[in-house]
Order: sequence, then C-alpha cells, then structure tokens
Amino acid sequence: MVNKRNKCLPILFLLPSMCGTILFVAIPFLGVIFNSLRFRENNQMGMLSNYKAVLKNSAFALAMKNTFLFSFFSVIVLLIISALLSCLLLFYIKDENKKKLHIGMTIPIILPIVTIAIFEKILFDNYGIVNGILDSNQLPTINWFESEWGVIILTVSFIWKNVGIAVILWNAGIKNISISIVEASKIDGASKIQCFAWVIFPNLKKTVYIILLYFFIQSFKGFREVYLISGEYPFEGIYFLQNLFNNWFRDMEIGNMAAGTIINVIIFVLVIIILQIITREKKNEK
Amino acid sequence: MMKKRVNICIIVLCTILLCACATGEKKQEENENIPISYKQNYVEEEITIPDKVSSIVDIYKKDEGNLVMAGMDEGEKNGTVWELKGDDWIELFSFTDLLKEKLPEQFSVTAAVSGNGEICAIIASEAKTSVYFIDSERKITELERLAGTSNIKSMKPDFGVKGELFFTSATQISSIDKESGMIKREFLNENAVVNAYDFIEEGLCVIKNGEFVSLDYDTGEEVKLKNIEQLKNNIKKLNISGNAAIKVVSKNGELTILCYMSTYQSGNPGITAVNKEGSQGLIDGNKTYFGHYDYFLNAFEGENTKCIYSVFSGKSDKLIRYTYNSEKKQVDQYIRIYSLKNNSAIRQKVLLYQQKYPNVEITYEIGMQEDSNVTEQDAIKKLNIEIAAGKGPDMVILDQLRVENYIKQGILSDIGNEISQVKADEELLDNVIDTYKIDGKNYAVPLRFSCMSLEGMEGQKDTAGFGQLTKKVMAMKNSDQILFDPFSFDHITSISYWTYIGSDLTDENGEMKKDIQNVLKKYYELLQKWYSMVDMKEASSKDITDVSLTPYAYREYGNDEMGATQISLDYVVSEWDYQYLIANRKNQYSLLKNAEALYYIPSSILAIIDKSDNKDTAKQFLKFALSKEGQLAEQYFGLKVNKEAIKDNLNEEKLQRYGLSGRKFEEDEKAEIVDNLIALNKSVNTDGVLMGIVLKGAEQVLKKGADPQETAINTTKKIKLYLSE
Repeated sequence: MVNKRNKCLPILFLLPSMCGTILFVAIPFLGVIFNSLRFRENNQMGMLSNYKAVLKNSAFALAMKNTFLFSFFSVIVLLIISALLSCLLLFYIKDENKKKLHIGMTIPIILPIVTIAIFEKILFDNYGIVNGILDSNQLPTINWFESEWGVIILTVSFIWKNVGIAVILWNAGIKNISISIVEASKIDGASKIQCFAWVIFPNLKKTVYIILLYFFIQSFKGFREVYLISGEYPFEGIYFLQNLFNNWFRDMEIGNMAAGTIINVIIFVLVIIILQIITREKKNEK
Repeated sequence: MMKKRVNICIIVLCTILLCACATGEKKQEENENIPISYKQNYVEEEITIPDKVSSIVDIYKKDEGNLVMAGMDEGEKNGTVWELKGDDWIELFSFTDLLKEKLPEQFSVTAAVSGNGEICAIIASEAKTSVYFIDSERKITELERLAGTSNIKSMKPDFGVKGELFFTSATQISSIDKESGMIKREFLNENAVVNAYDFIEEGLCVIKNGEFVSLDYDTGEEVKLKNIEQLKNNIKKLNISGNAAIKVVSKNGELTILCYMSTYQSGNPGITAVNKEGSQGLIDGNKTYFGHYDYFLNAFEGENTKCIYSVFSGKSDKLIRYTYNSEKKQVDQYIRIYSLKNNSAIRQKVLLYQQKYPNVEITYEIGMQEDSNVTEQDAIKKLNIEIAAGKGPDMVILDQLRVENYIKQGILSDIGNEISQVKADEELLDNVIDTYKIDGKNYAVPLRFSCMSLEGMEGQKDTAGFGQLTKKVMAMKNSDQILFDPFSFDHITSISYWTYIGSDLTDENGEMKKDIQNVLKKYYELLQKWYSMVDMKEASSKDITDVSLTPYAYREYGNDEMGATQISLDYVVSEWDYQYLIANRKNQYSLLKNAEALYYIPSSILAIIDKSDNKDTAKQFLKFALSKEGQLAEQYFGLKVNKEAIKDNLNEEKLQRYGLSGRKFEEDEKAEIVDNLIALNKSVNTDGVLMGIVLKGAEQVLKKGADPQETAINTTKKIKLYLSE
C-alpha cells in the first residue's frame, strides 16, 4: 500500500507541469502543424503549399543561413575562449580570487539588452565614438551596422555577454572530475597542458553538450539586439530568422510562419541529435 | 509521516503564495484603472432655449433646483436673464435694456448670473471696457475701478454660493466688492495656472498647475477637509494641464469632484467623478456632446452627480441636461472598431452615430494610445493575434496597416453593396472610394483622403518628374524672397516619395522593378539638392521617417507669413485649405503630378472583418460614415469623399463657427474644386514598410551625411529582402 502511494506521489507532483506542457506547448504545437497545412490561398487546405512557398522564399533561405552561421561560429568561438579562460582560472588563479572573477564575468549577462544596444550604438554609429576616433586620425569611417562589420560586432557582443557563464559551466564540469585522475596524471609526468588536453577535457563531454546546447539556444536571442539597433530590416548579413518571423507576423502570414516553425523544429531536433552523438560517452570510456 | 507533513506544508504555502500574487496583481490593476470605463447610464437631453436667446452667456443652478440663464439674441444686442421652472422658461429681465443708455453701438458681453437673479457683465467695445453689477432689485452699479484693471478683457465674472462676486483669469481668482469694484482678496500666487475652479460652502476649490487646493474665503489659507490628501492624489493622477472644468459636490464634508477635460487633453473627454477612493467615469465623451468636435463646453453646473447641466457652444448654443438613469441602457447592437492610432474623424463619426442610434454601442479601440508605451509592432501583433483567433474587432481602420495583405488573407468582407446603396442617394468621389476595389469587390473604403500641392509656381504642368522640378526651384533660389515655408522642410521627403518614387519601386504584382538602385540614388541626390538650397538639416523639426497617412497641416487663410515664401510643397488636408490656396497663393498652385498620375493619399480606411458577428450593424455604420451627415463630422483630418459634404464645408458660415476667417465660395467655384479632386487618378503607394525603408535611407543621406550611392545599394537590398518575404 505504502509502495503504491510512493509511486503515485511523483506523478502527482509532475501532473501540474505535465498539464501545463500539454496545454501551453503540445496543443499549440498541434495547432501550428495544422496551420502549416492550411491558410494558403484564402484559407483553403493547401497541404504542403506553405512548405513549398517557405522553402522557395529567398528571405527564409537568407535568414536560415545567417542564423545558423551566426549560431555555429559564435558558439564555437565562445566555447574555445571560455575553455581557455577556465584553464587559466584552474591553473593560475588562486581559489579566493576565482570567486571575485566569476562575479565580474557574469555582470554582462545581467545587463538589459536595451543597455547593450544603446552602448553599441554610441560606439558604432556613423557619428559614434569609434568613427570619431577614425575621423580624427584621418582614417576612413565605416558604416558599421550596414556592412559585414555588423556580424562581427554582434558575435563579439554575444561572446562578451556569455563568456562568464560559460566559464562557470566549464569550472562546474571540471570540479566533477575525480581529483585522483588528475593527480595520477601529474605523478606520471604530464604537463598542465597535457593534463587538460588528455585527462580533463575527455571527461567533460557532458559539460560540452550542455554548453553547446545552452549557448546554441542563447544565440537565437541575438535578434533583440539587431532589432533595437537596425529595426525591421537590418543589413542582410544580420537578418535573422526572428526578423523574418517578426515581419511575417506583422503581415499575418500565418501559413508561412507555421511552416517555417516546423522546418526550424526539425532542424533544431537534428542539431540536438548530432550534438548528442558527438558528445556521447563510450561505454568503455566510463 | 514527517515527509507527508512537510509536503502538505509546501503545498499550502505555494497555494497561499499563488493566491497572494493573484490578488496583488488584481489590486494593482484596479489602482491603475485611469482612464476610466463608463459604466453608468446618463440620459442626454437637449433643453429648448427661448427663441429670444441665441447664445448662452452663463447658467446658475439654484438651490431649489431651478436654473437661471443669461443669454444674448441672434444679433448679440439684446441680453436677457431667464429662470427655468419645470419645463418653462420665465423671463426675469433684460439686462441690456437696463443698461441701454450706457451701451456703445458695437459691444461684446461676458457675464455671470447668480441664483438671486443678480448679474455682473463686462461690456467691451473697441474704445472702452466697462463692468456693471445689477443686483436683484435691478439697481445698477458701475465698477469703474475694476474696469480700469489692465487685464480686464481676459477676466471673467462669477458668483459664489452665497452670492459673492469673483473675477477670474487664467492665472488668478479674486473676490470683488460689489459696491466699489475693489479687489478684496487675490487667492493665488503669481506662478499659478488655473486649470479649473468652483465655489462651495467650505471654500474656493481650485485645480492649479494640475493640483487641487481648497482655500478659505476669508483668509485665503488652505482649508483642511476630510480625506483631502487622497483626493488630491487622485486629482493629480488625471494629469490636468490645460483648461478644464470642475463642479465640486460636498456631502458630509467629503468632496467629489466632477471633472471635464477638453478633447485635446484627454483621449476620452467625458465627465469623470473623482473622490478619495479614486476616479470613475460618469458621462462618456465618446457618446455625448462632451467629445463633439463641433461644440465646446462653455458652462457646466450640477449640485449633485445625478443631474448635470452643460452649455455647449457651436453652430447654435445648446443647453444639455444629463440625468442619471438607474435602469440599464437599452442597447441591443454592439460593434467594436479598431484603429492603430487615434483617428479624430472616426471618433466623431462614432459619437454622432451613437447619439443618433442610442440602441447601438460602439467601442472605439486604439492600439497605440498617445500616453502608452505600446510600440506599433506590438499593437499590430496584438491585433493580428485577435483576428487569427476569431476574436478580432468588427471593423478596422487600416491606416498604417498593410491593406493588401489583409485582403489577400481573406480577412476583410466585401462592402460593395453598402457603397452602392450610398451611391444611389448621394454623390461620392468614385476615384477615391474604389481604391481597394479588386475583381469588382470593395474590401475597404477610404473615408477621407488628402493630396499634395505645389504652391507659388506657375503650376507644374510642364515639369515631368522630380528632377525637372528641382531644376526649376533651384533657378528661383537667387531671389531675395524666402524659398520655402517651415512646413515644407518636413514635407519635402514624404511628398516627393509619394509623388515620384513610391510607385516606381514595385510593379502591379508587387514585385520589385528593375534598376531601382539608380532611381533611389537619383532621388537621394535630388533630395540633397533641396536640402542644400536652404539649410534644412537645422530647420527640419522631426525625423524624416515620421510620416503619417493622415497629414495634419491646416493652413490658415490670410496668414501672410506663409504666403510670403516663394514656393511651398504641402498637403491639402481640408476643404478649407482651398481658402488659403486661392486667396494667399492667388490661385498659383497645382496638385502634384508625375507624368499622368495625379496622386491622392487615402486615409481613415474602413473595412469590416469577414468573421465579425455584428456585420449588419457594422454595415449600417459604414453607410452612415459615407453619408453627408457622417462625412461632416470633424473637419481637419482629411478631405471628404462625399461631394455634398465637400461643398458644404466650403461655406463661409462654417469657417466662422470655428473662429476662422474665410470667404464664401460661389457655386461654380465649389464645383471647380470638386472637379479638381475628381481628377485625382491614382492612390499613392501606402505601403508604410516600403516607405519606411526608403525614408530611412533619406535620413542617412540628409541628416547623417551618408553617400547616396552606398545608401541606394543598401536600401535596394533591404527592399529586395522585404519584397521577398
């Protein structure tokens, strides 16, 4: 009797969140699937016509390309920089100073997007500080947000914002590694770099998976910054999926939005599967 | 056992927390419930005033409920005082007869009456201003000392509850000795701006600089009344900044302020009751004369919240009684109209329709209220969600929205039949009405429109395109006369876009035309030339991208300052603009054209949502909005689409009603103006997104010194992106 109760209790606790998920995620998602199959040509069921239209849409192709390129490169660069920083923290910084550095590094993530966007505008506007410095040194000024530089500014901003939290995640992962393995490698004569590359890093696959997944999702939030800086139609290099969805929503293109969402979900799931495969720990590794 | 208890405790705690959060939010919402919803039912009833009275000078509500009124006849020569007993007016006396020997030949009267039938009148003529006080025994006292005050012409007499005489101005309220005309006490300091005031037994109640104070009649010191601090806070929340009117009702020492704010201050200018607890809407300005653009509140009386008298001045003065009716309103039809921004023309049509049909309740919803932080994007998204969910409004004003998209998505209903029914009885401007006619179906109808004019040149008949026009204007530059007027600074980019560029960017299918990069480059270079002719970078007052589909720029007839400039690129937004074009510009104007296209800008674009449950009522409203009666509501926001309404608006008398000068047009002149408008043959490209992209480029070139070539390349890419979406 007691066992039965104990079995039911977790389900009871999970029930509210399950209801919420079904009500606010699963059912709307079914609605999205349904809408992706209709609404084209004045409400008629067009089956795959929305998908065909979206896949043919050059704006969608551009937005997909930009979003995934931005996500891929910014997350990879972030991963490398944060890994290097966490190495530095691990081997060269004293424990009492680490906490202070952690706090310092997490400040950018709590800054509101609006503040960051204004700051970027002050720096990189046509009449901004950077162009002012260039001009005073008789160098040609750059239209930062209307050129490829815009992508670089956004990538740097993304890394600056997230590097602190990434370092903390790395450190948390490192702390989970048994000290005895590290100590054993040191006794065997491994240098600090060798120790990190061959002992610590291979034990961090789960951490890598979490970091990649977390920042992949985070990279999709870059749109807000772009929108605040350049409005609905930014330079084509920083035209992201969210710009397109935002504009489709404005224009009541429900069918396109629904089909685009489904395509994105499929790609997203594929990315997660690939990440899982890459970061999977082999049985003998364990 | 212990675990179970802990679990129960956690669940109880969570429930309490959730409940607390929910109640907290609700309370917050209640506190922020200003502006107000109008839940009460007041019957609006016009009281017929005596034939001898054409304009009402003042009213006073007596203790026993009767009303005393002073009024002037049509010729503004004979002034009489009346008392309303029941439904009958009883003439008390003629104050102009009493003052007969003292009156100049031409004069104007500002007067106040008291409950005892006393009257105090300021008689102003070009030569002299006199002040007379006539007591209840008809004894006349000339208040010479008061008449000698420097600002007497800007002052107004008024009577207190016990018959005390006061004189008020925009900055001061003074009590006056009836015998000598001496100022007994000045109640306010020099920095005060009086928004509204009223006299009650407890003291003088004033809203000055938006804040409420109650002052003692004898000492001028502030009177401490019951719960006054809460009341003050609630008054402050109304943000009164200009002229307002209040009536203070005192019950057991606690005050309720009945407050009116003008249309210009408040989105919904009705009567609001404010007390210590908060604010509550009493009389809805969207359904009564309080919100009428053709009438303004002149006097306001009411000793309690159940019965309020108001005098509205307009074509003819109206005395209106608002009586509280505890019975529920007899409303059987509802419609909800949505517009992204406040549209005065629609608001007035809503008001007139509800006055005409009390059984219809119209909710006029604005997506972006002026004082809210809602962005255009957010407002459009909210509307789209509602429409997609089938919970949208019944009618939509499509200004600033992409009409073509709504038509393409099958959201709008065909209103061709209703338009045809109106056409059967009245003459409409078909060229504008059929702007959104596709395959024989009308999906939307512009209720207003405007066009663009070039003034001061011999016309533009021989200029083909923006390039030639620029050359002509540049040739005039050397003259000593000022080249542009200040309005042109802001309008050049938008007017030139609409006339010369907007239609050259896309073809009939909405696809991007070839070579628009060169078109844009040339456009930006020409704009640079215009901006260099006069230093407009400094003079231009607003963002280039800040353009409305409903330009608001009425030009006053006889204003020499504007006529003194050489040329003007401007909008024609009202029939009254023709007064200016013909008189000031001596007929030297032409409506802007590009090759054979004479452009107009459709506005107040009304459509019915196809899924609406109240389609029939919506259709009736649409017919009313197109009729002459509906079209004549509101005069500034666009030309009318009803020919008779256009002609009616060109009457001299109509201008005078708004305190403007003008000349009367002959019938053939009116017909010529209508022909002028019929000749408009093409709607501008109303795609606001496209315009925004192009004008953002113009902003970069003109105000930030960007290179036209580079800007044209970037703008082309963005247009391509937009059109490919």
